[in-house]
Amino acid sequence: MRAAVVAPQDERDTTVTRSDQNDINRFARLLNERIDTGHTLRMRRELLRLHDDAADELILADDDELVQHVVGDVFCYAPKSEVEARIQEQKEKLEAEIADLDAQLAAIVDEMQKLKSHLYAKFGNTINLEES
Amino acid sequence: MAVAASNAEYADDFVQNQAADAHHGIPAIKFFEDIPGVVASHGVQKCLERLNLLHMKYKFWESKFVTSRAALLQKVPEFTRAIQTVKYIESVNAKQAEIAQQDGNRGAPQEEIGGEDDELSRQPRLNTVNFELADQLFARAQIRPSCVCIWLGASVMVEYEFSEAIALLESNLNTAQSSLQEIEQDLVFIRDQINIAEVNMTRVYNHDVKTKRQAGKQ
Repeated sequence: MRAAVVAPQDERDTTVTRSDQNDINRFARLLNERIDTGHTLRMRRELLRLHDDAADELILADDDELVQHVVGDVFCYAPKSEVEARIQEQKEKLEAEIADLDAQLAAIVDEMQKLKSHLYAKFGNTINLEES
Repeated sequence: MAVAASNAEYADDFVQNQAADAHHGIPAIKFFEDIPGVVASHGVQKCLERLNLLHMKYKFWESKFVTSRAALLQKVPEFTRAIQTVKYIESVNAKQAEIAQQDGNRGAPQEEIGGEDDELSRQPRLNTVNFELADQLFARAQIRPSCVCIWLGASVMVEYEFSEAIALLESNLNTAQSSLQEIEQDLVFIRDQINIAEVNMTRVYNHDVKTKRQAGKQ
């Protein structure tokens, strides 16, 4: 994000306007959002994977068995069918969340791309919009 | 969180006052519309010094807000889990009562849950839990709670009925979520100020380089 010292050959007489500044701010904001959203997305995906694993394991359990599942910080016992329903419900919630985050991330990347081409068109290599 | 003191003294060519309640009174930095003008009235060195100082201040505020955001981000799932747990215990209690009633109707002897019978504690039931006694050490218990205790902080724990506990935890969750939102907005604001400070610095610097080059050519 930092504009580097301009080499003589790259020097341009570009005035940074308030609107350019707003674009730069917006870009920085999106960059932060992209990092945060990407992080949340990875965590949700991992959680979904764990739920998938749990569901797979449950198939192997006896139908009339009480199985242990985590509630808060403790392991509780419940009939298999109930735990299955619980996991299914959580999975659906996670899937919806992941789809939502995916859409958000796509929108962020899209807007960043637009801002990038706009800012590079104006400032050329006097501005650096790559992540350091 | 009063970060900045009275902000009246802050307004000058570099910063402007905000509404007193906006962003904890942190002043907004001014975007230099007219670089040659600012440089002419303050001098390059003074400008850069002042901007650098402001930059450091904003960075300091940023780190403060990042820390409180991290704390809140941890709290939110904690409250959510606590609410889920209370609801779960409540549902188990309801089921236990149902079973007990059915047994009663059939005239079966009502079992004393959590009694001394060793057999009982080995056979898991709906209200059996394996809870963490110490790190990586679990013990089995049968629970029959009629209320839960909530740690309020300051070495105080208070007993609540299920519905009261859920209401309290939910209101705590809402408070945490709304302060999280507020902090996110403050962070966006502060980061904008950091960017403006950086761009201002670069522009002052580049203006200086350009002026010196032109002076050299002449």
